[in-house]
Amino acid sequence: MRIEKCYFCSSPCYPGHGMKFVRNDSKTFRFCRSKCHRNFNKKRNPRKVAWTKAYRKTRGKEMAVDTTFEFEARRNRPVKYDRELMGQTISAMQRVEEIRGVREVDFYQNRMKDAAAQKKGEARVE
Amino acid sequence: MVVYNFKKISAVPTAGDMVDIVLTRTQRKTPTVVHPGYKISRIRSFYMRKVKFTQQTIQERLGGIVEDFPRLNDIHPFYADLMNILYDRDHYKLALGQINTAKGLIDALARDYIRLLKYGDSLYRCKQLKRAALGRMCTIIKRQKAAFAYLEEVRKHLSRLPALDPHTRTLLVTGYPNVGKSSFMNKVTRANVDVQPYAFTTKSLFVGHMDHRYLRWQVIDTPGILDHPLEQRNTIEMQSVTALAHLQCAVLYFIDISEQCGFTVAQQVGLFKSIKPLFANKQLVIVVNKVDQQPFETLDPSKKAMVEELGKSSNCELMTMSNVTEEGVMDVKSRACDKLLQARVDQRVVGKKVNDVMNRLQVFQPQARDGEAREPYIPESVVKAKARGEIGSKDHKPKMGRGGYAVTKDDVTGDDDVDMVSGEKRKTERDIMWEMGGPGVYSMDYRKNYLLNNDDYKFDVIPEIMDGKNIADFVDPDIELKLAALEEEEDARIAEKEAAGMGEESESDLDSDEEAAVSAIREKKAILRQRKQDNRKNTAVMPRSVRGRKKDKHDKPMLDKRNVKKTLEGLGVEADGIVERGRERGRKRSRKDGEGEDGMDVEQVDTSGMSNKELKRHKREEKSKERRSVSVARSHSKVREPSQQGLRDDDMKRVATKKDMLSKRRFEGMSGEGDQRKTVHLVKWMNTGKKRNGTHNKR
Repeated sequence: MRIEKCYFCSSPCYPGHGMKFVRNDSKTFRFCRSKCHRNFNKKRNPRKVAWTKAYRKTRGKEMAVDTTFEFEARRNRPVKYDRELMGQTISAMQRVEEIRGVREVDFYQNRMKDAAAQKKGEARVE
Repeated sequence: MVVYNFKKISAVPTAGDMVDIVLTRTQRKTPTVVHPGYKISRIRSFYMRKVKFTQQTIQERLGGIVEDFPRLNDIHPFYADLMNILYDRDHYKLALGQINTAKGLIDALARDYIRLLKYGDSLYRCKQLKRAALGRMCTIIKRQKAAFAYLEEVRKHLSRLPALDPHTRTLLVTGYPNVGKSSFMNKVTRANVDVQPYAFTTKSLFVGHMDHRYLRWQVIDTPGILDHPLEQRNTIEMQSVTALAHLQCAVLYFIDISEQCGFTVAQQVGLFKSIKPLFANKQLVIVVNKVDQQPFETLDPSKKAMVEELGKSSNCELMTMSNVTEEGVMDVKSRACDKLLQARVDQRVVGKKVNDVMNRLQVFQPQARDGEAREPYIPESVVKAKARGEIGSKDHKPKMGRGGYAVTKDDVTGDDDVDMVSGEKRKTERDIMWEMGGPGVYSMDYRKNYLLNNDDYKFDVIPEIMDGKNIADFVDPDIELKLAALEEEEDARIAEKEAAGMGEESESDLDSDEEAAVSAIREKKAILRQRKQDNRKNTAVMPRSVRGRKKDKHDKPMLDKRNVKKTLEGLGVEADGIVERGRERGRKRSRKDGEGEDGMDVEQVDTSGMSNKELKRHKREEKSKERRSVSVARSHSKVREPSQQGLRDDDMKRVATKKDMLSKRRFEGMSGEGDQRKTVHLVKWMNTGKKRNGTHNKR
């Protein structure tokens, strides 16, 4: 069981949800719900549709490049099962998520600091 | 190597069928309509085409038949002879020849009739000529009825002949009837030839294939031969003789020493001597069969002498075997095959082609590179087992096939998993499965054979998903190192941020008074906005085109009648008429709206303090005033409402409106079953909001 990413909005497709479309050139597209599927059929570019993660990352509204992203990579060589390693992996996953959360917050604040200055300016005017 | 396959000959139709085919084809493929009114040339060409077409079709068909059948001179002499025996060479050739002549005759016919047609002067005459031509052609075909039938029979039989390759390695099995040739054939190859106690069970040649030394061999089973001169032989025997005569093969001559076939050893030996010339250039093995019935050693000495003398005289091997006990069968086969192979190789070596092959072959012997002795390694257990004599070929009895039925418990035999080396019976997974309940009930837990670092881990349930992520994407032997690196990086980053962030103040740079002022201003703005929203009436707004354009509001003074007159007269235009028309138009508009006329003032009555009843009366009075004012001077009739059409006068109108209002009156407090109104059960929280992660059927 794998959680795939939706092609359109990049949200997780849990098993039992969504649809998968296979094109004639054998490229597969997963959709988390019919909203994404319909948008895809309308040939909309996810990078131009405001509520998708692709748009947000392209426009720099969300963190796109970071070392925390390198932890999650699809590896094609299976690692022999080891209980300890599995335990380490799980705790590492959680820690990485925490760090990423903190970084996201900082990213947001960084983005918004100009807005704070602007608000101050408006207040001044008033 | 051409493999003779006579299956590709197309079917020969009967004479009647042939006529049908030809005529229908002509009818279908040529134009069918002709009228007497056409030009004569057109009619002529129409009929000539038909005759020509028929001739061509027949030519194709007959030519095809003649071509398809093999020419006796061109095929391998074995097949030529075989066909001669089976179908009589003369008859065969005659039949084909007749068909050929028929072809020629039809050609001549067609030519003649076309020539005649060239001079046909009417449709009728041309038609008769064509009929004659086609009729004669068909008669010729019908005359060949016998030939067609014969050729069809020949074709059918020919296609069923065994596919023999006369050039490849062949073993020929021959001897008296019932000596055991077909049984031998069955044992050695995969063929399934009939074996019966009566003579001449095998009536024609049968071919089987087998493998020996990684090569394909043909084994030919012949019908039995009896001992009489060639002229008296029947078709069946002749087939065997033909095979013997023409095929380059190894011959296995079978002798039945138990005389169960009904013929004595002497007779069999006699037969051998009479067909000896046929064995001239061939490898020969004399096989003494049925030794289970009569062992060779205990045979009558005179008979034995005869048989042995046979062996010596013709310089060939004598071997014994028995089909029933299967002793010696494989030996006979191998011996015969080896002999033939050797003969073939010798033959090839003598020829010229060999040199090409020999030059291509180079044999290398590996040289020892050092003095170390390298013995083959045999594990100790195997050595011990060999000493014990347990390893070797075992006679494997083939299991009875169950022909598609499912395997049941009874079929399971536990004795074929004897460990070859240790000699113990090892318990297999299948045995365990049967113990635990069978295929559907128990299935092996493959996890017990996992090879992991620690055996405790074998039966662990491996987690796959956590927090919306796949664990498999994170698993990495170096994950600890990477995590440590990340932590360092994070610490560094936070430290940097702290250092940089000291200079920044995220708080506002206004003091508290100014803050209060800002918030007060913002509040007031919000209130004003809200009030504006509230003051908007919750009704439909008249479009601007009727209401009056916003920009025209500033221009209103300009559109006043006095100003208009002034400007027009300033320009030098007669203004009176224009102004009158403008007034008319305005009046029309105002009448429709029910506003007061231009010049007539509307009293502004203060309506706020009145009660409902007074308000109603006031309204009615206003309306009637308006009506009265309008009814006096009206240049055109006012348009009536659709609901008011059909009513005679004002009284009726009043009655109608009253009734209308009555029916709309709600019964409060008088609710019975019929008065219940069904409300739509849409719950606000369930049916409002954006559709997030759900379907379109519900939110």
